[in-house]
Amino acid sequence: MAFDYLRGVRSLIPLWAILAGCGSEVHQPVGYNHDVHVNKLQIGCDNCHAGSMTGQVAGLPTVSDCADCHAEANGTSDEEKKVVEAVKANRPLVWQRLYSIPSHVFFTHRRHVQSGGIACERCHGLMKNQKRPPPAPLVALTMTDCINCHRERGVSTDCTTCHR
Amino acid sequence: MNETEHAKARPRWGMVIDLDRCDACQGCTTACQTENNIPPPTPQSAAQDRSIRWMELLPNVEGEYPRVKLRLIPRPCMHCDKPPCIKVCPVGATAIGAEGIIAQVYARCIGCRYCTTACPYTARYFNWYPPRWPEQLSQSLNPDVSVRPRGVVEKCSFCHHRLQKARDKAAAEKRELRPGEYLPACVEACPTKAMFFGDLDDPRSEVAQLARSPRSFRLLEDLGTEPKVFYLREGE
Ligand code: HEC
Ligand code: HEC
Ligand code: HEC
Ligand code: HEC
Ligand code: HEC
Repeated sequence: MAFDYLRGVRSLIPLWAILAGCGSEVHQPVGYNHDVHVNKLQIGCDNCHAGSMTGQVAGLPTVSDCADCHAEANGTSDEEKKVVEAVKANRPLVWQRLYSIPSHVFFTHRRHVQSGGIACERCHGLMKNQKRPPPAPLVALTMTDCINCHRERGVSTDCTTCHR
Repeated sequence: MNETEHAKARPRWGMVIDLDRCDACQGCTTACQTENNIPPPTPQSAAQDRSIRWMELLPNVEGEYPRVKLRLIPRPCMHCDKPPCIKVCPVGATAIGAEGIIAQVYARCIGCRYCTTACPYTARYFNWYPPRWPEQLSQSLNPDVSVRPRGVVEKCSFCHHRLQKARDKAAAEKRELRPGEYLPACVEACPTKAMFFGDLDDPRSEVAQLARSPRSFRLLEDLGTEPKVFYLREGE
């Protein structure tokens, strides 16, 4: 009963509306290109998002994850130059978070990716095809999405499963 | 898997507190306070009786002067099977889960405090003040527990954030949760080993056996709230 009530209330204020309302665009330090690295160079997601398959938190890459390939320039792009400079100076690249859930919700990647067998795309959209960092999440993940899939898959929907 | 099959396979979490072994050291209260990011009492909150204690030592005076005996009874949330608090919540901010833990969803709570009144164990607390810690402590909050804003009700959660993490670890290692792998902070900290925690529905578990002992009783049992916290009175 609580759910039906909640769904009614929550559907009035979806997350994307809040995000759009704030107009909070995410700006990254480098115009990173997923398409080149994932589709052309075939680098696995977990090389840069170390915990995305085996950890709770997926994590974002540090400059040392780029160092192996970007100690010298591979191409002519200005964006790559920024990376090479950062690698040479060992200056951190501070990536801004795109997807995040509030601190009162527990989420774990390995449970979904490993034992749940769920593809990254299901929750993050086609991140691998992005040629530039997206300014907003490609998929607005709300509680309704979590609950709907949990219902479909027979996973617990108790408040304590996610809230803390 | 259908709903009932799912429900059957799941544990029913409960606690046993042996009052014979408890020496009222308040180790449980302190452990709870740090584990759950509960702001320490201030002179103001103490004076107004508005300090928050998820695990409180309730004083119980027996006998008459000059033969008085003060007994202190540790009181967490009872996680009642028939919880009066849930019935009165107008917004569904508190709910009982399939494993018997009473959830408090702070984001949903509107702070009406019906539940604090309904709870016969006074286990629920309203946040009268914005949460504050002394400078040194504010750097060492537990990231697994969210900090409650002013204006919402909170209470003992049986440290269910520990269950979330233990389940996640067990699943990653492709195994079932082991008995004792999920313990609330108070149980873990108790120096006299007076507290027990586990699955009340598993007849082999220590808590299930202790809960059935002749020494066992529950607080305000006649109210029919069916608490899942059992006490053991002094025994032979
Ligand atoms: C396994 C090697 C490898 C790693 C690791 C790697 N890159 Fe690259 N990256 C390349 C290569 C090769 C190119 C050139 C591809 C081309 O131009 O076709 C490139 C190109 C780029 C470009 C230019 C893209 C464009 O749009 O032309 C940027 C920006 C970039 N990388 C950033 C990074 C960052 C940031 C990291 C670390 C998080 C990183 N790369 C890690 C191999 C790598
Ligand atoms: C070579 C390193 C690299 C690889 C490989 C890589 N990523 Fe990323 N990823 C990044 C960087 C750098 C960012 C931050 C900039 C951006 O948003 O593009 C990022 C951001 C993301 C984000 C947004 C994170 C947030 O802040 O919420 C998602 C989701 C993501 N990547 C998914 C993937 C997926 C899925 C794959 C595999 C198909 C993948 N990535 C492979 C480097 C990489
Ligand atoms: C079931 C949905 C779901 C799936 C599947 C999923 N993610 Fe996430 N991801 C999330 C959520 C929710 C967050 C925000 C977590 C937070 O704020 O703590 C997130 C955050 C991230 C971030 C930002 C950094 C972080 O760890 O918080 C990256 C990078 C990321 N995911 C990459 C991936 C990759 C790569 C995959 C596939 C291997 C993947 N995710 C699969 C839901 C998912
Ligand atoms: C596409 C489907 C899907 C989506 C979307 C999804 N989940 Fe899940 N979730 C699952 C599955 C499947 C499992 C069980 C995995 C397993 O078998 O171990 C699970 C398990 C969990 C668990 C552990 C449950 C337990 O009983 O221990 C938590 C916590 C969780 N999800 C949180 C979330 C949150 C928070 C979100 C939204 C941000 C979310 N999930 C979105 C499919 C999903
Ligand atoms: C499967 C995971 C999951 C379960 C189960 C779940 N929630 Fe949530 N909940 C979330 C996530 C993720 C968010 C944050 C994203 C959003 O606001 O949609 C959230 C947000 C909320 C919010 C909104 C907070 C805000 O600031 O807008 C409320 C209220 C809430 N949940 C109440 C509940 C209640 C009550 C229950 C139990 C009946 C419950 N949730 C069960 C995942 C879950």
